[in-house]
Amino acid sequence: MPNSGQIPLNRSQFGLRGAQRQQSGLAAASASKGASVTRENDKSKTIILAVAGLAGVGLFGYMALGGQKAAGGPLVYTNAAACASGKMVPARTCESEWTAAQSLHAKLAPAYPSMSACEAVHGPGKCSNPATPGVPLRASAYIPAMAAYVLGKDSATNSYKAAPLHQVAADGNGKYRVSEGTPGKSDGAEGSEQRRAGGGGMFLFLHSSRAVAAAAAPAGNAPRMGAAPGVAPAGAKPVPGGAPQAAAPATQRGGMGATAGGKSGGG
Amino acid sequence: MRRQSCPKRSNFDDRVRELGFDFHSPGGVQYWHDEAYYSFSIKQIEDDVEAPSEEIAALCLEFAGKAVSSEEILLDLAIPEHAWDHIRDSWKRGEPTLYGRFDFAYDGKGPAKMLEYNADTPTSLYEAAVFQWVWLEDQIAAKVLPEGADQYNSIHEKLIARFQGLGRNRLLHLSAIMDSIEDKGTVAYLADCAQQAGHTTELLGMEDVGLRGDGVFVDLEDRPISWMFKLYPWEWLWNDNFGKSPAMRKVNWLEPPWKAVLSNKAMLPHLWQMAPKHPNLLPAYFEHDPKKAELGARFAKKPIYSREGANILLVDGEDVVGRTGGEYGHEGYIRQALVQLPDFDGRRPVIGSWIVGDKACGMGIREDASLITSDLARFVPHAIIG
Repeated sequence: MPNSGQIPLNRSQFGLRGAQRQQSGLAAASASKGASVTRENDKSKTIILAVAGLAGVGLFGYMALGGQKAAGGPLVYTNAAACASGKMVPARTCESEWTAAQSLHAKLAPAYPSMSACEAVHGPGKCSNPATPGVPLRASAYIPAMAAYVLGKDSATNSYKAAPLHQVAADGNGKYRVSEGTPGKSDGAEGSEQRRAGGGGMFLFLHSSRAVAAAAAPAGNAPRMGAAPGVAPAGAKPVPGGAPQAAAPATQRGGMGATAGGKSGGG
Repeated sequence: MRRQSCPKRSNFDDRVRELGFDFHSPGGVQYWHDEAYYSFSIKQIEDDVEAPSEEIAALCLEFAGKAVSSEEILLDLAIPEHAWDHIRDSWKRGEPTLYGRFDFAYDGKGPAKMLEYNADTPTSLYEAAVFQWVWLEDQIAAKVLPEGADQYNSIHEKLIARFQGLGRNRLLHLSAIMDSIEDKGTVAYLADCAQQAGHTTELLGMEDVGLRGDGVFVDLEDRPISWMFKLYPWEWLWNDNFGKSPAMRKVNWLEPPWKAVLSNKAMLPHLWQMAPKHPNLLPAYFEHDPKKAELGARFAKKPIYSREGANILLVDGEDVVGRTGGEYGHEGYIRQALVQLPDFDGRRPVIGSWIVGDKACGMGIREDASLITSDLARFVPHAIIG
């Protein structure tokens, strides 16, 4: 868990606010009980999120493709093969949506007048000047490479749709933005005619490594030779009928999570 | 209780970025709504949300005590028999719970009515605990809200305190379906809280949990898992291949197995039987119970196991006023008296009332245009004003 970038959220006024409310008699009933509603903070309290503000975790990245949130949340893959091996999406769909996403990307990725301007934002070697058939305005533009795509299931049509993703150097590795406009802006009119649907925030930041890695090496029942027996905790007993403890115990994976069938476990 | 429009924060995009509350809405469906809030009086919060939440939480615990030792109830709950001992033992040992969320229908006037209890795998936690609070501070600073505005929200502090109460410097594994960004975000946030309480944490995909030959669950580095938070329903886990393994008993689980008897809509008819006419409960019966006729022609039919508003049928007289599809319902259904969610300019809010440990400590509101609050609902912040 990254420990950098701690973001203190100042809640210092809270105690004051609670006190004022009680003194002002806005709610006489609260005077005796207010503490249960107000935070037990004093004036100097700050709240800190240790996980780099959770930035990059892509919290609550509701994938609203076609107006529908993807069932089970969006799936992010860096190529069609990773998508196919993830076994969440049919291989043929992985391929066709990759192609579709590339063509969207060509239209919707942020564009720059020069290679250097593009690389300044997206990093060296990350930009190109592709001929974009059917999009004459973009023909001479430099755009970042499509780094991945995100697939969501449109529950209305029960079909997958994809959105193209690119990377911005300043975001760091493993984070993606949806190719839908100008980098660094999540709202506004830029490129609005080219947006598929308009609307508000346009970012999807993902720590893709886990999702993509999981997709590339699907957790099947591939037994893995595990740790030496000495790693077993004191008190761990051999399972009756299980593998003999003398040998290095093999570890099986994939025995949890299958019932989800791709659905979110939360509610 | 009112729904107020307000200007979107000018620093909204910065907040999203620095707090990691990043979302995506190409379809124009935005999850967090920054241009409105619900305003409550302190009396409404304390008398109509907080107090009933604690009362019903206590009632639920009473039910759990009954349920774990009754085969009849465990059958009602459609809990597989191989899990009964585990549930019973976890209750007898007093295994601690972390959190839960009641969903209430509330219009600011009558008593809040409990729709269901997400006692096992609740989400929408981070936005309620953190992002909502930051919204309050920002809007007070921007003078959109009065200086005295407040919020029913000590969720973050309570979570950290709860983790502090669960031992010192332990290794907590947190697992989820990591392909779901919301689920991953929820466990990342809880990991953050656990770290601040002095624990070490490790995130792990459910499918990455390994069963070592010596009968211990291990993580990807083959470290034994002794304490695990799972954002994964118990009924799924028991159905998975590892769900019958004796290794299941070697883990201290969050939520503990006994929570399965509460996160189950079959609890609702039992609660109604225990506390008939409770002002905050809705009459509820099993679909196979002839008494369901008492509900007349206005009822909600809900699967015993269902999440995010799936497979629900709302009937009002001769009209089907709501229906959702999904994959749930094999375990049977219950029937609950129909309560119309209040209508605020076409938006139908549901109050998510958070319990951490056994304390009610905060609230998050999701609103939907439909009568069934689904995973397409939007989160709208709230403020206590006056």
